[in-house]
Amino acid sequence: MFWIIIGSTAASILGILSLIYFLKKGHFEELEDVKYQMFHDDE
Amino acid sequence: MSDIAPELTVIQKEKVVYEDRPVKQMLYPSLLFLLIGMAVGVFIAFNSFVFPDFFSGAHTHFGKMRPVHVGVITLLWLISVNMALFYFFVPRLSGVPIWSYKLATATNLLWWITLIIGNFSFPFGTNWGWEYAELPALVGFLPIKALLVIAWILFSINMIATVAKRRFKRLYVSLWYAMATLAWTAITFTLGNFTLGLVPGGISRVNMSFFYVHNLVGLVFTPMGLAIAYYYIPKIADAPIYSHRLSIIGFWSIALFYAWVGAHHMIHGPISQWLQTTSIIFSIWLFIPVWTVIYNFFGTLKNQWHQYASKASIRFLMMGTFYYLVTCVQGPLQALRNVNEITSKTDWIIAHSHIALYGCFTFFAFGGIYHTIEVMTKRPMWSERLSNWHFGMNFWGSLLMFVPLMIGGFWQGILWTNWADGYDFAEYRANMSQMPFLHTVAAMWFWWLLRAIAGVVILVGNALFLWNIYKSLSFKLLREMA
Repeated sequence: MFWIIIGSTAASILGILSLIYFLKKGHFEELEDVKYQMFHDDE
Repeated sequence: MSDIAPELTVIQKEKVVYEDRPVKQMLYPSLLFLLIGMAVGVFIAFNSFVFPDFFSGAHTHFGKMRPVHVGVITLLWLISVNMALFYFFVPRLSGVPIWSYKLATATNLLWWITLIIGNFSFPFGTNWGWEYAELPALVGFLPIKALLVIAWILFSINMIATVAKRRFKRLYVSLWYAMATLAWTAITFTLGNFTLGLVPGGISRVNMSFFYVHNLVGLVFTPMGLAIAYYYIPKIADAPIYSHRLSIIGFWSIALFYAWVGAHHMIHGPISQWLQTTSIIFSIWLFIPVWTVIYNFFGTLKNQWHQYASKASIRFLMMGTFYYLVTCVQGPLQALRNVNEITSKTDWIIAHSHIALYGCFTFFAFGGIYHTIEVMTKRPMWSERLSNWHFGMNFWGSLLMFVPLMIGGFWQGILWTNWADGYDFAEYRANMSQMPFLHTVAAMWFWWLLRAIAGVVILVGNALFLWNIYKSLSFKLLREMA
C-alpha cells in the first residue's frame, strides 16, 4: 500500500512537471500554427 | 514564429524519403488477424449463444474461445494496426525517417512471435485468468509477457528517438498522444500484469484489475485512436484541424481525468462508497475531453462534407467519431448508480465495449489504412466500389450489432431488477422462484441471433476490404517485407 501511494504520487508529480517543462519551453504558444505542419511534406 | 528548429532549417528543402517497410510488417499481418479475430467472434456468437455448444468440446466452449477473440482483436489486430499507423505518421509529422529501420524489423518480429504463441495457447489452458490480462507468463519455456514488454520498449525507443530528431520544434497533437501512449501503455500493462500479486487477494486485487482494464481503454486505445484520427482526418480532407488549442486541452484533460475512473466497473460492488463516488465524478468529467474531440473533428469537416460522400476513408473516420461520441456518452452515464443498477453485467455493456473498440477505434484504423495504402502504393485503391461496400457492410452490420444488444441488454437488466428484488428476504425469494434466472437468459436469444447475423455481415465486409487491399498491392509484397 505504501509503495502504491508513493508510486502514484510520483507519477502524478512527473505528469505535472512535464506539463510545466513543456509550458516553459514554449510548446503551448501560438498553438494554431502547429496544425499546418502535416501539409509541409510532398505526399 | 517559425516552427522549424533553427539548427535544422538547412535541410527543410530536401525531400525526405520515408521508410515504410515497418508499416507493412505490422499492417498486413494485422489485417489477417482482424479476419481471424472476427471469425472467432462469429463462432462464439453462434456456438455459445444461438446454438449453444453445437460444436461442443474442451477447446471450443466460451471459456476457452472468448480470450482468443479478445486477445486477437485487441492485441493482434487493434494495437498492432495502430503501431503500423504510428510507423507511418510519426516520421511524417516529425519530418524525418524512422530512427532505425533494423530495430523496427526486429521489434515487429518479436511482437508477432510473442503474441501469436501467447494468444493461440489459450484453448490449451494457459489463460492467466484476469480480464484483458489473459496472456500467460510462460508458454512452454517462452516468457511471453516479458518478451512483449521488451518488444514494447524497443518500439518506444524507436518512436521517441524519431520524434527527438524531428524537424519541427513543437509537437502536433498526434505526437503528444503518440508519446503519451508509449508511457501509459508501459505503466498500465505493468500494473495489470505484473503487480496484481503485490496487493492483498480478494477485492483489492479486483480493484487493481479494473484500474488496469479501464486504463487499457482510456490510456492505451483512446490515445492511440485519437492520435490516428487527429492525423488522418485533416490529412485526407486536406483541411487543418479546426482548433489545435482545443485538441491540446483535450489531451491534458484526458491525462488528468482518465486514471480515476476504473472503479466505475464495481459500482454497487463490495468496495467503499467514496471510491465509487470518485470514479463517478471523474467519469462525468470525461465529457470535457470527449467534447473537445467531437467538436474538433466535426469542425474540421465544416465546408468539407462533400468528401463524406466521395471518400470511404472519411466516412469511416467520421462514423468512428460518431461512435466515439456514443460510447463516451454511454460511459459516464453508465457510471451513475441508478443507471448502473440496470445496465451493469448485461449485454448493454457488450454493445458499449464493441462500440468503443470496433465502432470507434477500428473504424479510425480503417480510415487510416485507406490513406496509408494509397500513399505507399502511390495510386488509389483497386476498387472504389469495394471500398463503398466495405463501409456499407460495416455500417449496417455495426448498427445491427449495437442496437439489439442495447435493447436486449437493457431489457435483461430490467428483468433482473424484478427478479432479484424485494422489501424483505421472503419477497426476494418469492420473486426469484417466479422468474428463474434462466428465463432471463432465454429472453435474450432473439437479440443474440441478430448480433450473430451482424457478425457475419461485418466479417464479409472486412473480407472484401482485404481483397481490395490485396488487389491494390503489387506482387512485390513479400520482397518488400524482407
